[in-house]
Amino acid sequence: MGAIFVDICDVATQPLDVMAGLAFVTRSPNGAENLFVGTVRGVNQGKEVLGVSYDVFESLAKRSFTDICAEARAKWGRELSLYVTHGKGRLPVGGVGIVIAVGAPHRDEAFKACRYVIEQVKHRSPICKLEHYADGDSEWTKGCELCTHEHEVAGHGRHS
Amino acid sequence: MNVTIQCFGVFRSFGDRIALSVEKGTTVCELRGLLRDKLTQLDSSFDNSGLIKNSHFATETEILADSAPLEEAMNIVIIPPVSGG
Repeated sequence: MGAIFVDICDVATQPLDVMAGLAFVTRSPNGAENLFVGTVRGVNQGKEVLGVSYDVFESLAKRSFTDICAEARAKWGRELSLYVTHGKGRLPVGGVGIVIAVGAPHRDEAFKACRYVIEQVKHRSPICKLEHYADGDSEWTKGCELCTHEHEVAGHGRHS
Repeated sequence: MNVTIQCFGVFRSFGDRIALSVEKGTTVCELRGLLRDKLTQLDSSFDNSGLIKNSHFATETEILADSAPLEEAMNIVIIPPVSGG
């Protein structure tokens, strides 16, 4: 049976470790590992971005990660191992904001579960993003209304 | 009775926490209007009912339904639209 690991890291003291995610989900007898790394974009809606600050309501965010991972295992198999860590605090352009890793018996469920987890996190986890621009302004991104259940997410558009 | 609302995301411009005095039996739905009035008191230029409508209220362990009644000394957080990942 697989395993689940979720965490929030204060990026000022503990940068997200991409390889730790991959190592966690690489388990025998599985034969496929899928890794998603979300990084800070340098441009958003035509404005040059210098960095972002993530505001995370930790207790509920971790709970949402755990729920989402459990749903992925219910959909694609108990053999799946899943790893989700999200940063809090300020990151520069190119900084790693989220690491999702999935280990599975085969590539199909590894890809599908990884995609499922990132889409659900974007809609269901209480995390807000303050963008810092080259012109000196900072602005909270508009985001999407928090979804409380998996089925609500399907009705929402995809967000970058 | 008194409740405390922890500010999160875009609401942090109003400080870390907002204290509100509400009547016993007040629901989360009714809290939206009371909070809008309070925020307008704190910042007369605040005019964003849509933001409050699209926000959720939560405790440390769960998202609260609009019908949920508030309890004395309750600590809740207001969660605006989210953008993690």
